[in-house]
Amino acid sequence: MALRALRKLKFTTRYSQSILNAEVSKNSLKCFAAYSTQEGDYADIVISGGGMVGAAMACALANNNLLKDKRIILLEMDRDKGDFVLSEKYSNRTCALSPATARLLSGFGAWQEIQSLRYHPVLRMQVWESCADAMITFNNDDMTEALAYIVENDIILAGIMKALKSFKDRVEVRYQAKATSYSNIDSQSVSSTKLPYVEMTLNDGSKLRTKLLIGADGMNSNVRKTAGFHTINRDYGQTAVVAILELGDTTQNNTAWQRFLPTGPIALLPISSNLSSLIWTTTTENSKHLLDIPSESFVDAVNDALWHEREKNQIAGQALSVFRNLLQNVFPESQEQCRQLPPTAINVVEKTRASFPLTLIHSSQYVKPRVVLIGDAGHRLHPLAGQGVNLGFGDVECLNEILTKAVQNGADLGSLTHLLEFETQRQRHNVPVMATIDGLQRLYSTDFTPLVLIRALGLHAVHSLPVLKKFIISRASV
Amino acid sequence: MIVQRIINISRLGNNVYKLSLICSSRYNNNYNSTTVSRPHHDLVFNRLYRVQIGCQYHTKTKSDCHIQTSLINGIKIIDCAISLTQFRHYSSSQKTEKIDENAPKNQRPKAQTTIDEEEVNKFASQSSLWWDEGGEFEALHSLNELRVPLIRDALVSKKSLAQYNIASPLEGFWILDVGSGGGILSEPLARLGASVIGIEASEENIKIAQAHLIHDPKIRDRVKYIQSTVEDIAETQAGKFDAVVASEVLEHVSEPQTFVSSACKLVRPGGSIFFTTLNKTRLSYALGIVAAENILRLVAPGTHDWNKFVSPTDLQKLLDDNKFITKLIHGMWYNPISKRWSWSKDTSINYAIHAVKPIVEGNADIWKEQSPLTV
Repeated sequence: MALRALRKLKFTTRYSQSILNAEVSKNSLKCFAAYSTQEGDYADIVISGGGMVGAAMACALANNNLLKDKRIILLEMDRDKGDFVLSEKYSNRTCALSPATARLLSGFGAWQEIQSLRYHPVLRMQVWESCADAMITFNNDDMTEALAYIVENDIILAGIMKALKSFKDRVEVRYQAKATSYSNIDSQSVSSTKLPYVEMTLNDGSKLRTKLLIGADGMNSNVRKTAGFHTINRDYGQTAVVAILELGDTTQNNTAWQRFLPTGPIALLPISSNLSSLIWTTTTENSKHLLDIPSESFVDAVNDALWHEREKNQIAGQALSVFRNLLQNVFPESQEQCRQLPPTAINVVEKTRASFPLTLIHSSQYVKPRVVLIGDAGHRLHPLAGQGVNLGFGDVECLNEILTKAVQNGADLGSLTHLLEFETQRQRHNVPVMATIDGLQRLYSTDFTPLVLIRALGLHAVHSLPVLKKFIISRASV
Repeated sequence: MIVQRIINISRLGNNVYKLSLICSSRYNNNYNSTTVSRPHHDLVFNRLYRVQIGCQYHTKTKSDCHIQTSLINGIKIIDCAISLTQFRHYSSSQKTEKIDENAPKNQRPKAQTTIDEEEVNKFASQSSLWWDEGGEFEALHSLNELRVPLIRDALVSKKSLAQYNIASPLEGFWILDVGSGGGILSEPLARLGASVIGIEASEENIKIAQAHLIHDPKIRDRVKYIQSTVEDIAETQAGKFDAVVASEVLEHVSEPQTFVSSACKLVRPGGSIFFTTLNKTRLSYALGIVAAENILRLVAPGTHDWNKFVSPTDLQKLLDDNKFITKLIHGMWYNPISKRWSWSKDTSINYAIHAVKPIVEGNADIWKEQSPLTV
């Protein structure tokens, strides 16, 4: 009797719950009804991690008409921050967003949100080094189109989250939620082929099943570790020092500067007409020293790193001038732009100095049955070219396309057949970028004369041959 | 699912009715306490009627109540005390019984909703054979990238733009998947909105397919697997299907003539038939049997018998004999390195064929007036 009464009670509560849902929206009724079958909740796609890449993935999927009847859940560890309030102060964590990323973000309205907050275009880029006179500049024709946009990380995230809120009936965002354990995630275990879904237990104890788990949970990805993805790690033994610098004597602050020093590159990215974001990669000891010294000494150290000539290599300098004359004769039309002098820092904005260690992490695979890694979860690289986050957004665009095709073919969203295509496409793009950046990092971390010579001549050759340069710009902006 | 009570019937249009039903389920206890509501479902409950039902199934008891009232809002209900899945697929209860009579007596009812949990677990462990995408049936999984779009595009072209729903383009189509195996093709077609019946000779395969299907709540009520053969159901289900698909089946059939004519019988006038199979050429012997089975081991040795292969011209002839019009013959190539299929002009190894049953005087079909989807 008691049991029956209990069962009845259980039934009534469930029933009233569903009625409640029905009042919320017709759509959600459909979803709720279809999924609340047995053990726990069900979603077609679960995105783990609501950072920039994870939230952008959610937006891209929500904006995809073909996925309109799919249930998508985004798990975010943080709490809901509510409406973003733009602070007067600039944040020291910035990204260089490529035009391709801006196109992706504007596809679902996030770029427009970012534009309404704060961003700064880069029209020109100059790269040079401390050991030789070789340098290279990049700019699009007429200096009208931006090469990249410098945006603070919290503004990028706020813009994407605001766009995501406009899709609130399409994506369910669960704040302060994360999976504490997964099952069926490792393809080695027997059960994964038995049950066609991934099951996870959340921190509130509830269970969630999904056809496709997207791991966007950053460089220390829990999804990657649990699913047993093989990774390649490299600790560069370097630390990045970041700060916001006030520049003197700039009229239009729209050039990104990067100088290679044997200890690592120093870069200045423009974020307003007189402020630039500093990303200075250096040895760990030096970084500690840079954080400790007073502001005036820090500014002096920055200017010294940008301007000093004491590492100049005589042999490389002579060889370069010979090579320059030679090129001028062989290709008379080749460009020889005048060198712009780097800016001078006059002040460092208070409390913006910080540091973080640098590592390279690359997962040999991005996909397993029902699991896919995107963004830093699959690949984290040296911040040298500002490519990291753009590769992540590239993953978002590619995965969205692949899932569209899968839905059109009626395929299971988590099926490996099309996920492998994502992996192939992305590795074809990401691995060369990572290898180039890793190689550049090694090439410039020495003052050994033959290497200085090679890189100086190579850089100059690229700089003087417009065809080669155009190719690099187009590759870097994809 | 057993229909317990019909709450209401409202007329939506010419021979389209909306039914609100209360049903009970034969699931184990897990399912008993859940509420499932399903706003739109197509039901064919008489050959003349295509009925949309909006039903709320919830179960209070395990006993199946038979419906007493048979006249609601002036519409006569033939028989509601049959399981929903059967109700959907057969024109009346008499026909349902007819099919059951042919089946062995001790066999369970075949609707997939009546499979019990024990069997799900038992067959789930075997389902890896069919559903491991890197396993024995890898080539069949990737063949979906060609055959699903082929079927989708051919059928969708019959819909008007207003009827086209981008997320489920095949909504409203009834497809018979002949030789459905583990359900590798049936499930994608159902995901595109089609109602699919898979027929398969092996009972084990049917259970494997059901055990896999049960985990996909979106499609599990749109797919039904039946242990039968084309020849067996050709009589009772003649002219019922918008499309009949026999993919990678014909090369295993001993009497292609009977097989093709039975399959053709099942297609409604205006409907389509699709075959994908192996050609009978020297190249198909060299690559399809010697290379694929004995050298590359893409499929298990002994899978294919070259003598049973049918050439496209022979197949087209068979289709002509059944008064079908061949729409296209495409070659298909499998790249064993990338493990992907691609279309090709060359039909000498694998090929796909699409033919339609013309609508002519005499068979001027009832669907033409009744179904909103008929061209």
